[in-house]
Amino acid sequence: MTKEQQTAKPLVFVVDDDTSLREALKSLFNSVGLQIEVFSSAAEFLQHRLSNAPSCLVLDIRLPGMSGLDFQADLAKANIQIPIIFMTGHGDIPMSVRAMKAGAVEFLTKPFRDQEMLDAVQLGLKQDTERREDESAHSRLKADFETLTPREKEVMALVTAGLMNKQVAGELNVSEITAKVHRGNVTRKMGASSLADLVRMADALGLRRPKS
Amino acid sequence: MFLVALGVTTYSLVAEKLIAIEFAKKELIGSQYLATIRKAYDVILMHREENGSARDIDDVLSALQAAEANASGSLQTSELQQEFAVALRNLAASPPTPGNPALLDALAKARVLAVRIGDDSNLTLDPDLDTYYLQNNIVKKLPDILGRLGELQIWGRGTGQPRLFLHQQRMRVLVANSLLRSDVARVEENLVRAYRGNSDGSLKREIQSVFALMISNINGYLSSASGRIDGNTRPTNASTVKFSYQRAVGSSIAAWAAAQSELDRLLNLRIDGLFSRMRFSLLLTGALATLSIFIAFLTYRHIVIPLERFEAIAREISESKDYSLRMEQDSRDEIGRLAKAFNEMLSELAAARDRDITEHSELARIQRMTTLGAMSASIAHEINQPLAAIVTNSNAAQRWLGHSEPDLDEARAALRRIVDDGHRASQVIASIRATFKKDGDNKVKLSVNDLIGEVLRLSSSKLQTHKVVVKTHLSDGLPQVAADRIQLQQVLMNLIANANDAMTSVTNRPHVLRVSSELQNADSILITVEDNGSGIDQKDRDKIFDALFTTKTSGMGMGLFICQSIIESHGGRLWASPGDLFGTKFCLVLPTGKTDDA
Repeated sequence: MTKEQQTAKPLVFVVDDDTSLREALKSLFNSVGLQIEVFSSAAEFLQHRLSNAPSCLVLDIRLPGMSGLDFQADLAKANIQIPIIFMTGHGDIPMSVRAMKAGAVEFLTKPFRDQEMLDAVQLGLKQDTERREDESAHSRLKADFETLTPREKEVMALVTAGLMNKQVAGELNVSEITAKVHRGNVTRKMGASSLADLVRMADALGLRRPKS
Repeated sequence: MFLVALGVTTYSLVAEKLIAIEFAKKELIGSQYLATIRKAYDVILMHREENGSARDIDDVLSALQAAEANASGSLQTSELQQEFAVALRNLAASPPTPGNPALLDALAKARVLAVRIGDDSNLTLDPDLDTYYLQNNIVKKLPDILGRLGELQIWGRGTGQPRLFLHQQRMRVLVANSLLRSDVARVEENLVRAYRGNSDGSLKREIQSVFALMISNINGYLSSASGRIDGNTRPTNASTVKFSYQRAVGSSIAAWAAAQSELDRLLNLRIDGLFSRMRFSLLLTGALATLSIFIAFLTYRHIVIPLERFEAIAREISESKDYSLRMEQDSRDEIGRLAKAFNEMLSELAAARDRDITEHSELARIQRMTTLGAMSASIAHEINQPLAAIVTNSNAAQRWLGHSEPDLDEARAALRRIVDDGHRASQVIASIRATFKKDGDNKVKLSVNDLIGEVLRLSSSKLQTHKVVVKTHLSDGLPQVAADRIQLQQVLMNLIANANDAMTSVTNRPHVLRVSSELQNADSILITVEDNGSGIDQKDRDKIFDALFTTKTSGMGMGLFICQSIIESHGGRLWASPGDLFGTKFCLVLPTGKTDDA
């Protein structure tokens, strides 16, 4: 695991039409060292370029022009995966159930306790970080796999399927020495520490053993 | 309609009977005329034989004249009557010699006249069997018989010299003889038929014997006369012949007279019958008409009157809404059943109406509760907003102060925001209280333009966020208005917030908010707040000031409702109209209270 993705600082987005609450939240998040961007409407938020940093969205359920729940649905449709914490002036159960079912991190009733808000935001950021790490690990694995030659890919599939070097050579109709060289290249290029590590990578990549 | 039908029926009935009566009356006239002819035959055949005086013939002539006058042109007989009269006068003038041609001529004329009378007086068209055959005897057969008796007597006597009887003459007598017999046979036939047609048999009783006598006398004469003609049998005494001739003629005339009087009697009987039948018909029609009128009266009494009462009750109920009214009708007929159904329907209506009223008041109660609930939710939202900001700012301030190196600037800023939000919350509460407080204690003289400036400053951050350009056009030197500052602030803030919301969805033109103030007339000021946003649907324009009406997905629909009640409590007016190009223009009129000012 490389730590280079963590260099971007986590970011909290707040969308609320009430100026003073926006200011208060900005102050609160700043006081615990969190970066924050505030928006007065959903449209304004959408115009902003989303950052690469782990982030979460604190959303008022009553927004001018569009309800927060509808906005949540729109984001899901646009495949923008960002954890959402809802705020509402008057808690109502059906609304919160709907929000939670749609994958919201938390549903807070105004006025809320600062710790609850901060915990929810931390949880959201953690979820986003994990999602991003999963995504980046997978993409790195894919990039490594793409550096293999076609022959090396075949060797990796056969080896991870449990075949001995001799068997691999037989399958590919090459000498055992050549098979060994290919296997060494595969292990090095994929950065695998053991055969078990390589098998796990093959599973993550979805490699299937060619039929003999 | 009914009366016309009745009249037509009666008229056709009477007309039909009158035609039949006229018909029979004409027959009577003919019959009477024939009686005169009969007298003429009597005179010609009997008295002429005895050198009858010319006076008898004069009598007959005057009787004929009278009969003709009596017929009064209804029969076309005058010409024939004239000829007959001439023949009679000739006969009177001629010497009474045997075989007198004038006599034969008179007989022939008489028969022709009789037949014409029969034809013209409808006798030959008689509809009844008895009278038909009887008239046939009188009109045709008896004149024939008398004529032939006369001819036979003249020819039979010849010139007084039997040897000079020519063969031709004998043949003529024989022919007349056989014709006479056939006539007698026809008379008998007619009588048999007439008797059969006479239902009560009175005819037969009256004339049978007379005709029997006539027939036997004629037969007697024929036998005595034929002996003289043949010459085979023993010569008959001329006086015997003459005697039997006179008997035959006499009995024939008598039979004619009897038949005539019977015919008259039967005709009169028929006329009487027709009259009585007509009276009966009229009576029947009258009775039917009376019955119809009676039934119409009953219908009116039992149907029309109750129906009118139904109508009256229905009308009274629709006017007075008194559903306790009932139709009083206890009869067991259709009307009674209808009344029962009608009353049941009224009960149902009354019950349904009661239910309606109950449901309606229940609905109104629920509506009040809903409005209250919605209002409290709206108020909660308005308060929660600054409260949330206060709590959050406090937390933030604590955290700034809790740092190892407390950041006093940040903490101070947070505290300042807390103060602002605290004021905001108290203003919200004050304005809500003011909304429901009817007294005008909080009213102060204030400048509208100052108030607008204040509100725009308060809203500036929000407007800037949405990149709204504010354009104001405030008239100088406006009089002050007496108003509740916070309430009026609330109204203007609400209108500006609405304008801002209406423009958020607009992306193709700059957002412009125009606020103006001007003197509308001597004692009122007009304030307008206009946006160039999405505008209000025509269908919603009447409803925007209603409580709980909103076009926003997250609105409570209380804003404009409260605004309007505030403005109205200031004696002003608030309304919306479409903007000049886009959006909506809210117009607010406030009285200046100039009279108090002066």
